[in-house]
Amino acid sequence: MNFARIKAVARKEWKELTRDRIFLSLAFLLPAMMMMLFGYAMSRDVENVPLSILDLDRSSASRDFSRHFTDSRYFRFKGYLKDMREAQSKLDDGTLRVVIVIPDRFEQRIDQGLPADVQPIFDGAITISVRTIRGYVEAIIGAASADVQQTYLAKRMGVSPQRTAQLMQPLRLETRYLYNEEIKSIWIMAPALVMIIMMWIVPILMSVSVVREKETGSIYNIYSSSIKRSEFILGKLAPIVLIAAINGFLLWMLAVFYFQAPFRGNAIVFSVAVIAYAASICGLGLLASLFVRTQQAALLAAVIMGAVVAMNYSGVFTPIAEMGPSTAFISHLFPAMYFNRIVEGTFLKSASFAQLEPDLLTLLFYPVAMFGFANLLFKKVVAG
Amino acid sequence: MIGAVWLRQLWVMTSKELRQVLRDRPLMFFILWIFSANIMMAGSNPGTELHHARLLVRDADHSAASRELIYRFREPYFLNLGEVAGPKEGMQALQDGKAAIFLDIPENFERDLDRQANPVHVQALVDTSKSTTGYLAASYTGMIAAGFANDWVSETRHVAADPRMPYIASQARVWYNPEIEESWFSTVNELLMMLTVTCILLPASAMVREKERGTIEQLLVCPLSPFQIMLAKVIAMTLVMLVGTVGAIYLVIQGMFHVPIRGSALAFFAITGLFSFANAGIGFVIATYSRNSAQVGMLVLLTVMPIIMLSGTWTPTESMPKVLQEFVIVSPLHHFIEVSYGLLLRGAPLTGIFADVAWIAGVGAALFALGLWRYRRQFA
Repeated sequence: MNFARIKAVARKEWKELTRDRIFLSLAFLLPAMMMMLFGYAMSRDVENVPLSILDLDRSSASRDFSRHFTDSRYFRFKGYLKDMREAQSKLDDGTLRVVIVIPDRFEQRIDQGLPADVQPIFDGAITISVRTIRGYVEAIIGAASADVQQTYLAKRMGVSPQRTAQLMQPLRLETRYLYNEEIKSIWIMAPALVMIIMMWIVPILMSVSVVREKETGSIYNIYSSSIKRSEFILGKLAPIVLIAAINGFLLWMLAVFYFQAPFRGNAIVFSVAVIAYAASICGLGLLASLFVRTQQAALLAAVIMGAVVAMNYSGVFTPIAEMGPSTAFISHLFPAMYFNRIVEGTFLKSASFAQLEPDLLTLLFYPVAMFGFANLLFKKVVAG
Repeated sequence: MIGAVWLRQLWVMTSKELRQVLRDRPLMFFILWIFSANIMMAGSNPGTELHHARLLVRDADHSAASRELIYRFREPYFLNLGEVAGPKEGMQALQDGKAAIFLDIPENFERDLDRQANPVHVQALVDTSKSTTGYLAASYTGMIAAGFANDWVSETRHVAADPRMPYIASQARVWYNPEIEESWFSTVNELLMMLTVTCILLPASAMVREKERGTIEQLLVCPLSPFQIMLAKVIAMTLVMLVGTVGAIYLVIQGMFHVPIRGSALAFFAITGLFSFANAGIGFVIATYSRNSAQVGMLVLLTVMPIIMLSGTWTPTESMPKVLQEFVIVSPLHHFIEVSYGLLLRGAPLTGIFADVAWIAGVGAALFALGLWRYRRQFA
């Protein structure tokens, strides 16, 4: 390998990148903009869920029960419904997510010491939050039920409602949230976004840079020159790895200083991981670009790969331990999972070096493997 | 203006575009991929449900009551890894990431429950450093503890036990997806997301390629209007997308995941065509602002990722900040999601989705006009 030739390719590549002002500014602005936007948009906190009540009893007990929902910050109360038809149509067109039906004789049954049914109806079409919403509703109904029982028991036993409350709840669960004491979802999302946004953007930078040469024909200069395959590949990789790594550090700074996500781990380990991850996804983009002929296909491949790997095979939304075997296997093939584990071990948790070491080594080895594959697959022969 | 010649010209141009796409083997591979394997993989993901949260327990009491409480942490929500000797080991396992939740049951747990004097304290330590798992595990633990306490009161000779105690029972129903099958949502969602990406990206890069290669000069000297050139690209792309969507809906989404189609499938496909047209409008506007494919890639990402993230399926629209909610209204995808889930899962009547369809058409037409205007200004 000749270092001068690598440098020549890298310099040519760097000039090409820096002369395209729109592209260059987007390459740096886009990651930061995405971080700011998604930090706000991707919160998993469920709030203001549109809810209505169909009160068929219209009693003071049913109004007391309704108040539990109208006062909740999780729900936005959209008024009482006239009948079941209205409930159906408003659930059908998606204006309501939850309807609570209170049947008639609700108050009468409570007064007689009988179980009184209520029926919450959920829109199950968008499943992503329906379980959380159902959890809130069940908890509110449970609290309302406990209220009813306490009043009933206090009357019967002749003691204060506080005492009956104590009797009825013999178990007190103390939950302590470790590492993210206030369960702020931004503290989880901002670090994860470092991994996600890099995965989205870097493959595009990389694959287009190779395929452009193929499509415009300038690759023939390379084919006919004395440069070796490995030198060309390294020269192509270097500038983009640099851009990717700078972006990684910028995103890291945004997560810590803008979103205030605590960074509790080893900064040196994380810095090395950022560079290794940048090189890994560049290698991945490079490998993908060798299979396509047009920039159109290269873009589509890069966008799909980035989105799918970051969302489904990184362990951010479904932890690896909870995945099925095939999904877990695919996750092990991409660098996102290893980097995500380092993100998790250095931001909220402070994992020891021994815990991070295997993932760090994998990330360091990954670009070498990608380079090896690319070197094998890249042919300096004019096809057909 | 629209005569036989005009239509024939359009057809020739469209078939050229179609051939260009069909002959690009790698491109066809990725298009096939997004309509088949990609949806299958999305559907087989366990999703956001709490699944096998790894639980460690310290049971210092070893009584019938403590065993009963532990027994309630069951699969598929929890995966009981067994017992540890003390809280220290539990903490260490959480730190090492070997467990997600640690439950600490104190000595004399059963005796204190029987005494009915003061509430008995049980501690749960939850690792909330990972996205949804921690919070879900905590709320499930809360529900299990409450259920245990409730049953304890009513099943033992507790002073508060009363056979005639009133209570409010929840007869919850989940409509449209009674078993909350994640795959019903995630397969359709994946299709919609990938349709958005491709319907914006492909026309944009097809357009900019003509610029990059200089073939746009040939098009300019052809007896074709800019409108015909753009329309031909949209029609070709829409045809490819529609064939893919029909295949994905019947073979994968209905065929493999048994997602019910409750409304009009024909209407859904028609609106998919409209959606594809609206997105092509976005793509053309992008193409007029970029000089090469690399720029197209960045600009597409700049528009497509916010559109996807803010569509309302990652975070419910109602939970977003107010400013973003107003921005979301313009997005064709936001309305297409309502239409798709409405027609496919909810079986909504066509009258219910009319407003959404009007939005898609309106935004699409406006973008298309903008793209056409900018194209004319640049070249004609």
